Amino acid sequence: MKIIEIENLSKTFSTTFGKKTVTALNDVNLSVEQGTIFGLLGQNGAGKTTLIKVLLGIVYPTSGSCKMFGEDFTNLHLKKRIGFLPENHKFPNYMTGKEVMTFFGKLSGLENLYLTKRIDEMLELVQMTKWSKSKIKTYSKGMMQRLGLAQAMLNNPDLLFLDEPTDGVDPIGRKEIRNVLLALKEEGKTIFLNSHLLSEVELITDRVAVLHKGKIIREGNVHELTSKKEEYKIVVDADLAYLLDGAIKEKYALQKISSSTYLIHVDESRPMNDFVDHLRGKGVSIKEMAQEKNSLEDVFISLVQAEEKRL
Amino acid sequence: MKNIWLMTVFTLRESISKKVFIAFSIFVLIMLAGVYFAASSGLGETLKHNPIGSDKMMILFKMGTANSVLSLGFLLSIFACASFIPSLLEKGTIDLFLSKPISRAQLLLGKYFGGVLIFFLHIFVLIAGIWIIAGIKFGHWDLSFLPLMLSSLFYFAILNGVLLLFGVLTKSPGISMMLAYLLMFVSPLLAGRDKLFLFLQGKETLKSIIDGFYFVLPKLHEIQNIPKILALNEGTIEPQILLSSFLFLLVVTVLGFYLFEKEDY
Repeated sequence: MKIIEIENLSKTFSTTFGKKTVTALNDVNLSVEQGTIFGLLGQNGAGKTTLIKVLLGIVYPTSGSCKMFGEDFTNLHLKKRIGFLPENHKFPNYMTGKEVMTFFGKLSGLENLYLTKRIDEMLELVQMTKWSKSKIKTYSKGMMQRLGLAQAMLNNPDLLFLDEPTDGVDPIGRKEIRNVLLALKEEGKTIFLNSHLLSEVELITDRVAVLHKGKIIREGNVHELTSKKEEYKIVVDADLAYLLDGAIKEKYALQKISSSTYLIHVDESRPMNDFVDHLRGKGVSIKEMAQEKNSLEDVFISLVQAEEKRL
Repeated sequence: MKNIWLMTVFTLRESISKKVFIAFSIFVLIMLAGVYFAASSGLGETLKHNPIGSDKMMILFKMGTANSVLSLGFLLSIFACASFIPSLLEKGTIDLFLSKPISRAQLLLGKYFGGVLIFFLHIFVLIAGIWIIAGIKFGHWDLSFLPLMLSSLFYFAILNGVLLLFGVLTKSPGISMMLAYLLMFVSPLLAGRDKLFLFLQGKETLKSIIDGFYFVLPKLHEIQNIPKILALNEGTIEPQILLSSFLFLLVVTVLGFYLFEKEDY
């Protein structure tokens, strides 16, 4: 089931008196399936935050349509099923963590009994119980992010929007947040993630879209985007450079990485099976074989650079 | 209604945290203490034996005292409430609020009523306090003094409407505050424009402009005088004073809501 469906969405901001316009989103089409973690990638100013804000009714679209849970996104009651952690959020600094949770929980329409129980659970989950009675003004950036995440999850949302959730969080905290998000996914929740930290996005997202200057330039599942279809890494117990004859080495573009690890290139004209048969014929034992991968960062950079050249 | 109440209480809490609520409370208590000492200093005898008549003198004393304190109270309330809307619209705050199942109108209404509630709590204590002090000290329990609470509330509701509109429009507490103060200071000048016209002989265009301002802007000065006119039976209240002021309040608040509803944050 599609939780988010965006069709031909555009947003143009006009400066005062409309003298200058900035296109933040340009004909965006996107859909997000239930129970998945979706990552939206893009440079600063690409339009990632604007897209989330449009979906939440904080910014109005210039044209196009959006649906969430199969309904028009402007329906206010949908927000009861949504959680949001904005980038650089500001909680009232005179409140304690618990008071913030209580206030926003009530604003989300939660009843007192359930709210009290839920606040304790969420603060525990993000490991903020110890600080729940301290004023927000004493919190570090990392603590603010943890509290923001707890606030976003307070109403047990089916759809969670997170804008740079690990910003300012230390590596251990980041791992904990990743684990929380994966656990939510297991529960069937859908997570829409904006992040600059591509290595993290790669670790947890199912699908990603790359937004560049307001336009989606690539969308797909992480494996599809990062795998190098024709490159395989192979680990054997022999020195192939010595054992194989030159024609085979040339055909498969054999490349030695270490004493037992090699890189080969395969396609229709040079099938993988033939290479494996050849090795076995020579009595070589294959210890490991895996398709080579690009990092998401490499993919992102190459996509953005290609788009820049195209423009 | 629940959401509006939540925002109203949130605003009250915000004013307490910013210490303006406490400053306002201290001001009211100091003023009441001043009235109490003045009433204990033999003033009662002077008022009772005044040729105008003790009842009338007593009403004038209470109205005069309350209005002087109220003028300072309005200045303080504007200062206290000017930042409520701009602080809501700050980046990182408004996103959080708008992501919740609360409409933009409810958010703004809650903030508006929060300001009115803060003012009302203080004005209630102040006016009821003066009334009780006068009752105890002079045995004068005339109820005609109490409508001053309503007229003051209306007066502040209009100023708070100005704070709302310009808070949304400029996101600046300073600008909103200045415009509310300007309205307060211009109102008595416009109310006494007949005297001003004596100096503007032959300048008909300017007179028309001043007249135009008088009819468009709220009649704050006249509103403040309504309880005195009623208590002393000094004449009738022109309905246009209330109607045009109410219309002004309606226009500024509706415009504020409209702009807030349309704005991208």
